[in-house]
Amino acid sequence: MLYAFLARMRRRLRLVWAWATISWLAPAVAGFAVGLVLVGRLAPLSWPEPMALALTALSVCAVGGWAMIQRLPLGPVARAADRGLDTKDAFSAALQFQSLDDDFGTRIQNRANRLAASADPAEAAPFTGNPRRWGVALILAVAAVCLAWIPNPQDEVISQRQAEQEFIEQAADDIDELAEEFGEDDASQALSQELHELAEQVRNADDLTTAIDLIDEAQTLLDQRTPDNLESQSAAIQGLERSLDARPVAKGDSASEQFAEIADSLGDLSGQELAALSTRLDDLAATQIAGNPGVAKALSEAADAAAAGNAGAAANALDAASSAQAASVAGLSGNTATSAAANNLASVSANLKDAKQGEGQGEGQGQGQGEGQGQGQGEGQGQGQGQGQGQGQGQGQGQGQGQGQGQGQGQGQGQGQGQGQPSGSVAGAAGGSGQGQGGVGTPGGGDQPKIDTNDGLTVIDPTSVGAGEEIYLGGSPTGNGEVVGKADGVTSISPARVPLAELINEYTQRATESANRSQLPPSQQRLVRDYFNLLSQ
Amino acid sequence: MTPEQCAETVSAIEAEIGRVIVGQDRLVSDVLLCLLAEGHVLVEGVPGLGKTVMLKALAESLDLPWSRIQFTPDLMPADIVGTQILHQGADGSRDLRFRPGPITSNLVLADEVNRATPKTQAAMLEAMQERAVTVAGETRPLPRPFMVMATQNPLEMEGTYPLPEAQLDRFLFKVIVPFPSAEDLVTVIERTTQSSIPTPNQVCNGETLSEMIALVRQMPVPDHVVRHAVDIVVASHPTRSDGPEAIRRYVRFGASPRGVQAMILTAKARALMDGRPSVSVDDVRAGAKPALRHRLVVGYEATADATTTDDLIDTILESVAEPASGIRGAP
Repeated sequence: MLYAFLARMRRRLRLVWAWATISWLAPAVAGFAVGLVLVGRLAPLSWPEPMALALTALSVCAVGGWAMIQRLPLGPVARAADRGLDTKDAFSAALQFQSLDDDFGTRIQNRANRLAASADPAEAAPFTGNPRRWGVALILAVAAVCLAWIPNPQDEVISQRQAEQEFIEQAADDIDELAEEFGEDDASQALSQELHELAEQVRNADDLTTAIDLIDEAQTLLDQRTPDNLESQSAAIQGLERSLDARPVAKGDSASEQFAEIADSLGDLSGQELAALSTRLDDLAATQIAGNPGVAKALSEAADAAAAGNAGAAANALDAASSAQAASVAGLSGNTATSAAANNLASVSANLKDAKQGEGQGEGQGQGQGEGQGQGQGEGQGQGQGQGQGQGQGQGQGQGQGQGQGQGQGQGQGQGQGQGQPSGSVAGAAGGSGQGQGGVGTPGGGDQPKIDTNDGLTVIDPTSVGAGEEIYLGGSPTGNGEVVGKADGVTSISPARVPLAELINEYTQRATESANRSQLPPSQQRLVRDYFNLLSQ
Repeated sequence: MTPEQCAETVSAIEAEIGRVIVGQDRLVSDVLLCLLAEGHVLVEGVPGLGKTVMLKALAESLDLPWSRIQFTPDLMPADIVGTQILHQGADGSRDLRFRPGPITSNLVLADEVNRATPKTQAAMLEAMQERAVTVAGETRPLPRPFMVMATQNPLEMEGTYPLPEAQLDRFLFKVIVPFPSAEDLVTVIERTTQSSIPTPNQVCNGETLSEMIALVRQMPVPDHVVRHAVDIVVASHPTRSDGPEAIRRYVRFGASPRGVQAMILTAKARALMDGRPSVSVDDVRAGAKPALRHRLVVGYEATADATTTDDLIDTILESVAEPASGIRGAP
């Protein structure tokens, strides 16, 4: 009877201990929870409220768990029962003298059993608590719940940060995808590795600004590694390959192989054939001066040697041209990949900047509509954006006007590239922001558009000119956003002429791809496509 | 004899004494505790509170011989312990025979014990301690059970010889007899001014009392009860740095080990009087004041601040908490 009662008493004491401990901890836990909720109101943090809830639950669970597993010897349990029931230490004495076998021992056990039979553990150990502590805890708990219930001004900031993080993640994924698009050669693999590392850095960026800075920095580095004359280099190298593919000078799948082959067979050529070869090599050399000067020099030397009938020197020069062309083709691949990566990074950066701008404007009030309009020669694009959800687009220089409850404001941005005409007049470009930068004028060959009667229409590679004078025209905004620049500079016939027929298809394809990939408005994309379609016709 | 029988007997004795003594239940209870613990009791109170009557009633209810010694300055030790006198037989022979003094009795009332000289007090206290008297080189045991109830008058201190602490220590209890309440005083007057004064009936005899005394000695005491009594006595010493401030300030010397013995013995007697087979902490605490109040030596600061030994014992009891379970929220 005694031990059964003590077992019940021990279970009761576990509950009493848990209750008393919770009573003791409650004000501190509630106070801490209020503090956490307040932190969540003052700083854009998402963890304070869940942590407050978790802390409360953890405290209760910890107290309950410890109440279940803590060791409660029978001695203290009997003592608690004695004190709670005022049994004059009957249970404690019975525990101590359980082995006492004299008359007193028997009487002590009998008395304890008799008292235990009618004892109630709940009466011996009632739940007690300090009302003041419970009052304080209750007030703090209600305060915490009320604070958690009312709208949190930091929620918008948190959601914005989450949106930022999503943009950052998307940008990092884009960079990773970009990195996977490169080839298997060493340069491409190294570039791919760089891009993967950049993607990881972007993922770890704290905010959009940091991510944008990282991407811009990487883009700048890639741009620096890209030759300035990549376009002319590409045009020259690939033009040479196409030209020799269309009109081969010897057997071979590539220009390099044909040069090597013709070098080996120079001794078999007649004088007339050498003269024709010299002319052909001279023409080819002329197309390589700007973009592929090493090959141009070798071909020019070979042409001179062939014209002079010096087959040995011509062979040596052709061997050099073969090697230079092979090296140029290999280098072009890496440079093209680097340039493409830089362009794609620019696109990713632009996306992030748009996201950031939209996000900032999203903080505006109401709804607005913005519309930008502008015109400008050359190519230009503009955007008009209104505060709020509005967004406008325009061409060239423009101004947007917002309508609605918010304030609308449009901004136009344009980029233009002028192209030199034989007449020397150069169309400038108008920036939507009100400042335009004139295109680079390439001196033309005369007063009339230069048309090569032999090769048909020729185009001028602006970066491939070897002589002449570059003319920069600064655009200035006009009332309707139109900027026209003119220059009457000294012009000369540029040797950087490439038959348009050889390039137009590639130009069209690349321009279309570029237009589709960039953020150009559909109307501008259509304009680009129409332009190249006209050229093709 | 069982604890229940003991409790019934003591209750009957108290009832019989209560027929004679009014309003001194605490005094009767404490004297019975000392009797069961076979100790001596020092009673302090003004004259006329029924001390002598109480002891006489106790003796009558127990059917035990008792004696009363009025201590005076000219009282000699031989007047207490007895002496040898010259005896002449019928045949003319002469020899020295021992004539017992009033101490040779089961119950002795030493009235105003502080009025005798220290020499006489010492003889009395030696007999109390040894429960024997030595006269002319021959030791004679005193009858058992044996209890001395000494009295002191706290008012008339002139011409007195206060008992030294060493001799005070030999009293198991020091009981303060309060002045009765007005209601009790009315009852006293009614009973003592009638033609017939009630007398107690015999409840038991000395043999039964001896059985009860033996039962007290046999009763086991739980360890935590002994420990608690020891803690109380230890806490009465001013040398403990963690003791109560009042103790360190007012007490010169704390209680002796006899204080622990007194508390434990009287706790056992109290449990027996309650019919319980075991002792509790409450029994110890209930006997702390009468067991310790004459064992604390206080300084002049206590007198100056009107702090009594009872106040100090209250402080000690507050500082020594009852042994609890140590479980949060539990008693």
